[in-house]
Amino acid sequence: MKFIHTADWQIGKVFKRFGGKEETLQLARLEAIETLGQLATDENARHVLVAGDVYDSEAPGEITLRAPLERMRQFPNITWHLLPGNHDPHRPEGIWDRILSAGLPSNIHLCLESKPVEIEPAVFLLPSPLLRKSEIRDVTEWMDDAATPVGAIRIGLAHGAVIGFGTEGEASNKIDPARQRLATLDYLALGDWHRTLQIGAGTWYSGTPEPDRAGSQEEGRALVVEVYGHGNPPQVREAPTGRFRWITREFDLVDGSELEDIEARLRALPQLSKTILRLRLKGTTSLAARAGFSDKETNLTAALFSLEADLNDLEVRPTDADLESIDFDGVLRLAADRLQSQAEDATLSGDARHIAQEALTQLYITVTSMTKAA
Amino acid sequence: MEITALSIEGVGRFVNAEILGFGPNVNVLAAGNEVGKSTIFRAVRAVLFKRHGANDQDVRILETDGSKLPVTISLSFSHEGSNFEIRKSFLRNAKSSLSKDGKEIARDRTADEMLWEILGIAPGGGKSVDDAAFGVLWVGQRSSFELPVPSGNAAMMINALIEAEVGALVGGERAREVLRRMDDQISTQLTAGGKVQSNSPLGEVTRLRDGLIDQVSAVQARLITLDSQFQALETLRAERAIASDPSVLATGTEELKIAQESLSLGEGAARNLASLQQSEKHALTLLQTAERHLEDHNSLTAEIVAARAREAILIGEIQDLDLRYKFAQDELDVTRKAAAEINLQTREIALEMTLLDEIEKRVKGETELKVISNRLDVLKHTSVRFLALQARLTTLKVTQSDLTTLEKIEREIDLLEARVDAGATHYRLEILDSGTDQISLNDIPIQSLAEGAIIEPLRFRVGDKAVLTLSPPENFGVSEIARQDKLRSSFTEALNACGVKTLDEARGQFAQRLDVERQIAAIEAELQVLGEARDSLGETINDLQRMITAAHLSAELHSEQTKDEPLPSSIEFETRRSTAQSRRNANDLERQRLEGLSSAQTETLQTIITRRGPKEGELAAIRTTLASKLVQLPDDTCADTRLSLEEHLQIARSAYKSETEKRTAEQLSTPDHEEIIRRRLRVERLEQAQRNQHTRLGDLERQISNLEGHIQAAGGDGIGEELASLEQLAAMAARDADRIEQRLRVAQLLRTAVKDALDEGRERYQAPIHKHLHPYLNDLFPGATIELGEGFEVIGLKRAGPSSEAIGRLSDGTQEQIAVLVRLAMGALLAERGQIVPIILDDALVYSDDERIQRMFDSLTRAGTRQQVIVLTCRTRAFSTLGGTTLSIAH
Repeated sequence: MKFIHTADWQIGKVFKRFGGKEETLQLARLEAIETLGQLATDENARHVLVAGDVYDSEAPGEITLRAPLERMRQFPNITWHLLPGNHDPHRPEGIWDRILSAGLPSNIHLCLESKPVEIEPAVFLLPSPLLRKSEIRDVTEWMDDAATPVGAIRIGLAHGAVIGFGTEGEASNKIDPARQRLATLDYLALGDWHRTLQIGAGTWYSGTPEPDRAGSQEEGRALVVEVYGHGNPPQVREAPTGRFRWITREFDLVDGSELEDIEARLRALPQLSKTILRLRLKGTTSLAARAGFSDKETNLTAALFSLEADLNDLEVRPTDADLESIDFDGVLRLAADRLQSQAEDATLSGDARHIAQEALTQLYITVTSMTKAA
Repeated sequence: MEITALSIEGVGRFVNAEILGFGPNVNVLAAGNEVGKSTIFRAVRAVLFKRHGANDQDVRILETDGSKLPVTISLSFSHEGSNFEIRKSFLRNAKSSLSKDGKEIARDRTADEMLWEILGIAPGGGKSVDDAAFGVLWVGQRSSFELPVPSGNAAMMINALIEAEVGALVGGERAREVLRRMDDQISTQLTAGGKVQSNSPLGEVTRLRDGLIDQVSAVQARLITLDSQFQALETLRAERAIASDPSVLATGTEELKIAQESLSLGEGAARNLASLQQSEKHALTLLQTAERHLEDHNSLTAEIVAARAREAILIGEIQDLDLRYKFAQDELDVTRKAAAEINLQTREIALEMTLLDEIEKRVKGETELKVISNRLDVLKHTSVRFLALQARLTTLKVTQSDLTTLEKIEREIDLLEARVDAGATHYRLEILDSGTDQISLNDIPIQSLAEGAIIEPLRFRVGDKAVLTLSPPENFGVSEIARQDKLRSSFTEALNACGVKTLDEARGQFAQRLDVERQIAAIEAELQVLGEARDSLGETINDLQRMITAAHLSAELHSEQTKDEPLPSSIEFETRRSTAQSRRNANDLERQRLEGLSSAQTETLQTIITRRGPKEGELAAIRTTLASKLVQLPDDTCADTRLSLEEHLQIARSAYKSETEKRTAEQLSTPDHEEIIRRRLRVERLEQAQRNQHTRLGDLERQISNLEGHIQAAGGDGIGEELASLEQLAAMAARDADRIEQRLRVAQLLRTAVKDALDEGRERYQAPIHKHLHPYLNDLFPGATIELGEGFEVIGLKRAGPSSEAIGRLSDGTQEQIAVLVRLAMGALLAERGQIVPIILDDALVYSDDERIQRMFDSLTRAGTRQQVIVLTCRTRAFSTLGGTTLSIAH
């Protein structure tokens, strides 16, 4: 028995901060479904198990609701098993009833009840749909007593956080990490954790097929799972599915001279135009390097799909040369010296010191631009 | 530099003149108008700053009218230990010669330029030069109140001197550029008052953020509603499942059937019992009727006996009351006859009293009429006077304010005329005997003497032989004459408004107005003594006239009633009134006694009647009752009737006992009333429960249907995506607003830092000037400081308050004094650093009052201790206390 394990599509997620590029990111999430369908076809897998959070919201618009269904309809030989998660719980007249009313393609199976479903002869799917955003009880507990014929393969499908493992997902729906053993499952397909992760011998989080945030899964993945019979350990293999990479890079500067090297290293990243980078600069930098970073930031922004530079923890510490660039003496040098004193004054608030640093940087940029213009 | 001698030839009125008496300190040339002081000042400027070949206005104005001589000026001065003489001839035979210590060292162009080099003056564009420090320290006529603004070279010279002492103000220009850029940045976001501009990026993003936050709240509320609808729908569906359970419905129906049967059995038994109870009740009624008949018979027998006894007692009491009534009636008749006699006498006395009252009113009315008539005459006379004075007052329009305005305008005109006259050239023409009727001024013949100021072109005609036109300098006194014309126009308008032609006429009218107002005040005082108000005088007169008319009518009425009665003397009147009152009092006492007696007798009769009536009524009633009872129970059938009634009673008692026994037996097997009610309530309860269940099911279906509709509609709207979008947009707008605000704070902080540094630098830079300005300023404005701008221009004066006063808001006199003081300070600064330049003031301090001008003299004297000060003035008396060296002109 071979199938694809995926989760957390979160169709309809908005990316407003990307402005005009939002649609591209939303489209990529839909294209990931086609990638999954092609993967299943290539792997000769007849089932795709989606472990929750197909949609980002339980009240999407009609187009958002139907767009993934239409993508799945394009693969009639594959059965897609969709499980309600904490983003799209199954509630009366909710999103799943709307899907049913809209007309469900025959190759899509909605897992709306906690009861065994025979998806292949002697292969039973034990789904645990979420009926609300947050469940206090462990919704997979019923699997322990779920009866299936002797020798049948038992595959669990659930969405939540494994107890004791910590949680990165939004749901507080806890799942016993021993569920696979307690319910004699041959495989437990989990969703909610946006990273591909193995919890136990046959318990996996598949991660999302298309990442949607920085500081989490960098590349989209799905799992190709093969179960050889009840009681045998499954064989699990990761497969890339994502289009965009969401990466975070952090650099600790000493004097800002490292920025040249950092720019070069970032330029060397693969597929820059499909990379969303969160760049965090810490430590200290000279005024000249800080002023020069704006130009580098512009270049990188042009090269990348998106760049978010976080300089809040980067302290500007002017060198003598910086200050002399403003002036050797006189009015502007006096103003610069005072701004530097404020920036270093421990009795001032962090915010006030930061503003003083920025004012000093602004003075440097203004004066040097005036000098260039002259 | 120190001027030591000056001679001029062919300059203005000077054919050949020399200025004598130059000294190193304060020099004063005090002379009247037209002596040529300003010409001397212009000559000094020309010889120093003009090339000898110059032919511009500054040079041509020096030329003597009609003269063919060149304009020649020779100036001697000492400079840095040497004695120099520069001599230049302009316009004709132009040349220049410079001598040092008596030896010529240069001629012509070389002399011109060498002189400038010695004095530190840069060559100009060929015709004139930048006069450097001289431009600051030499103040021409009418220029003393202009604030000094050093020229390029002067400012450069002052800057060089200051920088030699305190160093340069480095980066000032770039700092100002930074300030300008920060101001540009700040002004795109904030108004001048520091508020966010509504159409600025910050204003727009703030509005966008707030709007998005509101939208997020609204959508969140909708989402919360949707969430609660999801939960409510789940609850309702669970309720519907319970309410529509068939086993529950069947149990309810069975319980209702059992309760209905139990109720039916109970109600049948209760109906039987009720029938037996009715029969028992009927038997009891018959028994009670028999008992009552027997009791009625016994009562009637006793009542007949009692009525006969009471009848006999009442007959005796009525006979006694009849006898007492007849005696009392006789006594009352006697009393009434006596009362009739007394009433006759009372009417006679009343007629006498009425006649006396009318006589008294007639006398009083005639007295009041005389008083009112007198007051009316006085008030009418006063009213006529008052109206006449008011009419007079309206013709006198000139008020104190008008008079003050007219006198003020006249004073201003006089002042302006005097000022123009003082500044103008004067002429004096005496006609000799042979010239009589030969000479006219502006076509008006002059008889013997004509003199005055030339403030407008004057045309003297000498018969048909010559015409001489004297004109004032161009633009001379234009502003003063225009001001005079304006004031005269205002003066004429003010006179017309008052309806007079001259100021004296206005004064006369105003005096008359004061006299009329005094007379009106006197009348008002008289009215106050009379207790009358001026405004209600007419009304009072009308009231008094109405009162006189009424008094006449009243008098006529009283006279009609007493016309046959001669008016008695007061003694006779009082005697008649006293007699009548005594008779009336005696009569009143007797009448009161008889009335009391009559009342008592009447009351006695009434008492008898009152007591007799009830007894009469009671006797009639007893007789009627007795007759009626005897009809019911005649004396002869009384015993037989009693026996029959006792037999009926016995039969009724037996029947009642039988009915009671039957009812008691049935009652033991019948449920009581409360039990029946309980069974009925149970049936009703179960029926209601069934109906409620049906209703509840219907309600649930409707609610579920409604909720499903709402949820489907909300879900289809894409509210989840909408909320996520709005939240992200709101967060972005908030970040944008924070970013702009931070940029703004950065610009503001940078601006403050640069401005503070610039202010401090400027303060340090200007310190030398302030140091030299301080003693001069202290002479006039103790404790004050002057605020200088970048190019040393005067911006304001700072005295007691925290902020400085803008220079333009100060009085003309103060502005002029400050302007001169700043020049003195600059002169002191230059002198201290070896740039000793004379200070020349031509006709300065014209707006200073007596106290200030003395203090200015102190300052000039102080300046004279450092360098040469030359003061040219026409105010010989005012400047007599300046002291110093007196200059004179030798022709």
